Amino acid sequence: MAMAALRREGRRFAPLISPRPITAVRSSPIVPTHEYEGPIGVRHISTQVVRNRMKSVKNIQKITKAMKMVAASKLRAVQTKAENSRGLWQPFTALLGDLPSVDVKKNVVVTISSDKGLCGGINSTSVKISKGIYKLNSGPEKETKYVILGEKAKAQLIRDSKKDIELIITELQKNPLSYTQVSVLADEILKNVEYDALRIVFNKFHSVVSFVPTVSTVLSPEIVERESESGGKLGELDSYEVEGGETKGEILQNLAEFQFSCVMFNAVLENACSEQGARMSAMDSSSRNAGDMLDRLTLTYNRTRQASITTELIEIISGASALEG
Amino acid sequence: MFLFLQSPLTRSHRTVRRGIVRRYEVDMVIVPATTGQMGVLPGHVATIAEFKPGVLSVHEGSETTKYFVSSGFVFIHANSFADIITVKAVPLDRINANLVQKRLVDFTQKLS
Repeated sequence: MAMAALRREGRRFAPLISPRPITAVRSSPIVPTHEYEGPIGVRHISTQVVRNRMKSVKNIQKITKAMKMVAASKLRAVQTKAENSRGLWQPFTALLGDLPSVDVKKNVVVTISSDKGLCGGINSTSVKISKGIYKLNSGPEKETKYVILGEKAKAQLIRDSKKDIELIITELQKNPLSYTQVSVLADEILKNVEYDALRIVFNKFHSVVSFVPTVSTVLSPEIVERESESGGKLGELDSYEVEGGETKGEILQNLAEFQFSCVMFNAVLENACSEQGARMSAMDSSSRNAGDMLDRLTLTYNRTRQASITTELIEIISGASALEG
Repeated sequence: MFLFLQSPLTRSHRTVRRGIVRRYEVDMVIVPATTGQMGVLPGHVATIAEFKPGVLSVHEGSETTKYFVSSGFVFIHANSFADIITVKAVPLDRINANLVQKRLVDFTQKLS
């Protein structure tokens, strides 16, 4: 090629040139330009570094785009389930109400989070709210314990609240979520933890871009009795005749347990939806950032390439003119 | 399943499994409560009752739809609304009697 021939000519004349030609490239902050001396004093500016960087950024962009699609398809699958499960706890709330302001001695905070990362800030918000509830309910004779579902909350809460954690459950989403699985879980929690009020912290799925951290409160039957006697929302509970079973207390106990498992089921599904939605938007912004970075790197690459060509030409031409002159 | 019973009776069914929410007006519902079959009509006193697994039948005029329900609860509210919540509710015509018998034998063997 003509360039190669000229390059060879340049090499022959290079030793005659005393002053160094001016480098036309200003080293950019992103990429340090590399100048090295060839065998007979010829200078080439390498574009290798920029090219490597561009390749890796492009790969990252592809990966994040793929992750976004996967999250979108998983979201579609879980979303119908979550919306159907919303109907489950509504009658319970209609009957018993949801009283987050209830004042009890033994609180248990059930924090629901994801196992995998790269899903935006939803796990941090859940943990923040759990810690807030803990602080709100601290006082003399009161105790608050944590039950943790999911690796991410475990990692965050184990650091400073290790002594308050009762139960840790991970790998929830290994098999597709089902009521049987959640009811077994609820059973474990109810068996092992003493509680007056259970507060379930999760991210409620409103839409693909909005996930609202929510707290659902489930009261133990004793507290339900106490609250219904003192009037208020639960005061109407007395007007209901309780049919069947031996005592009213037994039925209320079953009711509370059933309510807990229904609320848990809904909470776990909503959190799964929120996780996928948050991952979608996180991966989307990450691919957009990668695209921007790629544009900037392409400009730098072109500038570097053109500068090295210019430098070579200058060397050749000044060499040639030195001969003539 | 939730049955929302409204005067006459409106029911909404909600199952844990399939999450069908059906809301409709019915004349009467017979629920398999733990104390026996309980008939619910409009104007029933407010009640909370627990089910045992059994057959739930919904009467709308002259039509009767029967469902097999696993255990759950029914809340009957004072305004003639009823909520029925069960873990599973299957319309009876979807149940194959032979398959059920076979499965029953299998599981009894496994248990013993």
